[in-house]
Amino acid sequence: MVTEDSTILNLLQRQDEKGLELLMDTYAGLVYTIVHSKIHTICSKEDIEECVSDVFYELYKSSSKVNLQKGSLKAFLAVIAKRKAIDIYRKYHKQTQKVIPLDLLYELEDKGLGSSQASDYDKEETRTQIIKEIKALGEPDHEILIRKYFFEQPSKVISEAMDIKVNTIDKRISRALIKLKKLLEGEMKHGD
Amino acid sequence: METNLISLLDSLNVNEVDELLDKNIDCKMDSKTLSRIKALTYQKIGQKSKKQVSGWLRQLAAVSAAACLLLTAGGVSGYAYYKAPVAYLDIDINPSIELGINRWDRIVSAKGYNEDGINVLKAKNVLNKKLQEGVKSIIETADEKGYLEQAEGAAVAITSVTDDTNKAEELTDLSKETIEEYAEEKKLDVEVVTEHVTLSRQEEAKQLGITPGKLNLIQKLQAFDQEIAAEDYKDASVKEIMKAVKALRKEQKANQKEKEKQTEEESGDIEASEEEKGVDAEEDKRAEEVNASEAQVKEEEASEAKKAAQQKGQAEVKRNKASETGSQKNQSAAKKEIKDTVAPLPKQNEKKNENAGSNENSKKSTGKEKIGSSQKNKK
Repeated sequence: MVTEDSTILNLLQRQDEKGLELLMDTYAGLVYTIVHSKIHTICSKEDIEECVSDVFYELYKSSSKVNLQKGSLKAFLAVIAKRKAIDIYRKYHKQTQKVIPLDLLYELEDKGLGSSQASDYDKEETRTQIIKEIKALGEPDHEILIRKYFFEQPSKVISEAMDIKVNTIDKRISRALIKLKKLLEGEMKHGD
Repeated sequence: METNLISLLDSLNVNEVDELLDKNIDCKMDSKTLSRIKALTYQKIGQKSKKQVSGWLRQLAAVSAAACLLLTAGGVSGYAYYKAPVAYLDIDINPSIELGINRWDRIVSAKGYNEDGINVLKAKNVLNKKLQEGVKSIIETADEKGYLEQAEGAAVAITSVTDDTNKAEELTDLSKETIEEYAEEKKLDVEVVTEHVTLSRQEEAKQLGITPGKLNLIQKLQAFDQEIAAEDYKDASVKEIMKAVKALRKEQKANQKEKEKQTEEESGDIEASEEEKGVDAEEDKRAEEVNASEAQVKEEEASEAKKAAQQKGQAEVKRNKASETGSQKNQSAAKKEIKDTVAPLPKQNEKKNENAGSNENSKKSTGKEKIGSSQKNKK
């Protein structure tokens, strides 16, 4: 994947449209899934498509700033997609309150795309821990958890994608959550 | 708890996401949506590049492109219209030249049909000149090269090749005037012959590699003597061909006169022999009057001889008449044909009438059918 990413990035940096084509062919599903999950309840299909194209356009624009050693194109796209979708979600609800921590957004704006520095060290610790925990779950729970809580896919979609019964998925999720509970409860307390 | 997990995962940075998603998770999407997204993205890139060019510059480019297109299209079609010949004019001296004439009497193509013709055309450019100027320039060049200076004078054949007879006359008259004026000026003995042939003749001539004008002359020759091949006179000058035509015409006239004389003489002989025989018979009569019975017998014999002689003479006349000119023969043949055609004419008329009748019948029947069908339709 890394070699492929580098060729795509090279093309993008040369403003070659082929790079954009390859990028979209490879990651459109990922970006679409993220955006769709976040805003499909409040936006039309056209709005979702518009948002996805915005994500790719943004990466195309700032391709010169992308450093593959800091993260893969997939990660960059996922982060941009999340940020854009959340932006739309927040604008829609006109929430002045900061419900979702958007440190990433400021991070990108202040230090440019791809900076991994976080302002909140406590949260960073929790995040690293939770990733470890999720990865420690092993297959297929690891994928199910990512699909359920990162891509925010409903159980039915996950069952179709992974060819596992909906019941089994739900059971596995509840069991995995128990494992993560301690950590999450601590996070909740910390957050409160 | 679940929302908490989601929000936590939402806040992951690039590094963390990379770690979380190290395993490739398949996210499918339909191709139609993908192509729509692609189109949207390309549009955004296109908009960006378009914005770089200022508005008025773009407008100017569009206007100038449209103007260019119009001009080239108009120019190309106009040129093609100008270049299209509506008639051809063949000039045969011995240099054989064919000029393509457009609707404004301008020379738009020139082709030499033999080496002399090509040489004449090489000497001076006649393209895009007016017909008169072009013809004059050709005749001048031909004169300079010595094609018009011949002991017995030169002959020029002007042949218009077109299906438009008005145009044809106009072209040949103009050219004839030009050439005759030039000949007068230079005191040359030039005979100008004008002809007109249809475009269909052009193909035939092209196959032989000669101008339709020359082919026309050769065909005149062939009318006198069918054994003449077009190939033999391909490289001959117009003067030579015309000389041959005149010679053949004279020969034919002479032949006709001779034949007429022959027939007159032959008919004269017959009359003479009849008279002689008649005199002989009378003398016989007188000499053998004494022997009445014998005389009677002899008289009978004489009358028989007379009849025989008369029949002989008539037969000879007939034979002579039969061996007369082919044209007369043809005439009699034609008469026969006329007779033959006259005879079945009433039949044909009858047939026509029948046909007409049947047509009427068929019309009636179709009418009935139509009525029937319309009735059916009504039903």
